[in-house]
Amino acid sequence: MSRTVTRREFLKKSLAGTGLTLAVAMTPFGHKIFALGESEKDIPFKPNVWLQIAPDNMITVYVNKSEMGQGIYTSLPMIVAEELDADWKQIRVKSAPARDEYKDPVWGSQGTGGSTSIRHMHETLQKAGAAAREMLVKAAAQMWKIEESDCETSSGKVRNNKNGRSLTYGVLSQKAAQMKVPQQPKLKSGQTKLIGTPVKRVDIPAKVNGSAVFGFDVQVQGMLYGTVERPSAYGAKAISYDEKSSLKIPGVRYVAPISRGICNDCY
Amino acid sequence: MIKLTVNEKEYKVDVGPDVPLLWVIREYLKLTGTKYGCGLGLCGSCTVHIGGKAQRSCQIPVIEAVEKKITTIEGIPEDHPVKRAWNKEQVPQCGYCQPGQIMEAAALLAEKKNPTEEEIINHMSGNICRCGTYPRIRLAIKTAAEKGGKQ
Repeated sequence: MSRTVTRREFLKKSLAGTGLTLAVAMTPFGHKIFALGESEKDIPFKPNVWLQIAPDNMITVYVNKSEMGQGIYTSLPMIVAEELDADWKQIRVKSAPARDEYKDPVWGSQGTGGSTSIRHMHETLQKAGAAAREMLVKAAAQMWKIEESDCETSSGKVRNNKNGRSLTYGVLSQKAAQMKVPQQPKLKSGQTKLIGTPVKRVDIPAKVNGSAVFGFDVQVQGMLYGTVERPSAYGAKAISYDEKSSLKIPGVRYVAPISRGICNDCY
Repeated sequence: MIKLTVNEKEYKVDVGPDVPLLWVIREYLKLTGTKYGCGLGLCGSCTVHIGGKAQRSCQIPVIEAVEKKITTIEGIPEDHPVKRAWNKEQVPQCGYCQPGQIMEAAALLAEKKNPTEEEIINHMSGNICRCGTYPRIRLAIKTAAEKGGKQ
């Protein structure tokens, strides 16, 4: 990229329809290219790449890490929800696409491992939630014509401390989207509300009913399976093989020798 | 053409008689909840019910399953005591072996309403979990047994 385009700018431009902005997302079925403005125009409030708030009060959090059973589809969104002062019940979790913005800030790549997900993502996600919260408070204060300090947030609502009324984040989302994105949002201090409480893992229901898609479950058209005939001893090398009779086995399309293991220089 | 009844639905598949049932379930019926683990009947991740009995589908030639009632993880109702207990006790970690574990546990409870700890351990011993969720599997089976008994 020749110059840095902020997400906000990116969204504004694409939403304004001044040209077609294309985004590339990695799906299990290959690269999907879509016009960002088109696919996301129904979501008015997307303060950063990590979350969006829809008018129906549903908050979607994007997770840039792979859920391998350690619970990060739950714990990373909890960090966002905590700073945002959202109600856990209104949080939905989605897998982030492969994009520069979703790179791990420590590694500079989009990977998962080494018990690093919380450590590496904590601050980024705190700021993401806090920025959204600030924008929602600003929006509410402007609507009510009161000071921001007279507003309080909890459970996905902004409360007007002058008259006790409150508005949901969903209702405020459209107006909040017009606020300036704070670059250094103020993080919460003191007692947490959500973090530290037991929360059911969001990845579990799909793993119980069989609908969870593992790498091995991805099927593409014309896909074939490869299998390795392993030697009987470590370090053994193939001397010869019978290609003709191997190809006679039903379903076998191709037989090829490999001179070494799958990976020559790892482990 | 081979006719199969899976999860109370009839299917016709154009495969050879000796193709493993697991292959047919995953590749032809696209029911990918049932997992391929070892392909040798040693790990239990491919467990389905054939005529109500827990079987390793990687070891069953499809022809042997014809005219039998086959149930996969997708065919177990969402409110089944075992599925509910698995959610309640938060059993899965990575989750890969869990469809097989659930099918095995459901078969056990269909036979024995209140199995003892020893019976649970014996019955489940052929289902391997690399994450080591065994304590929660045992707990969930006990939870499901209680719930099932109450109903």
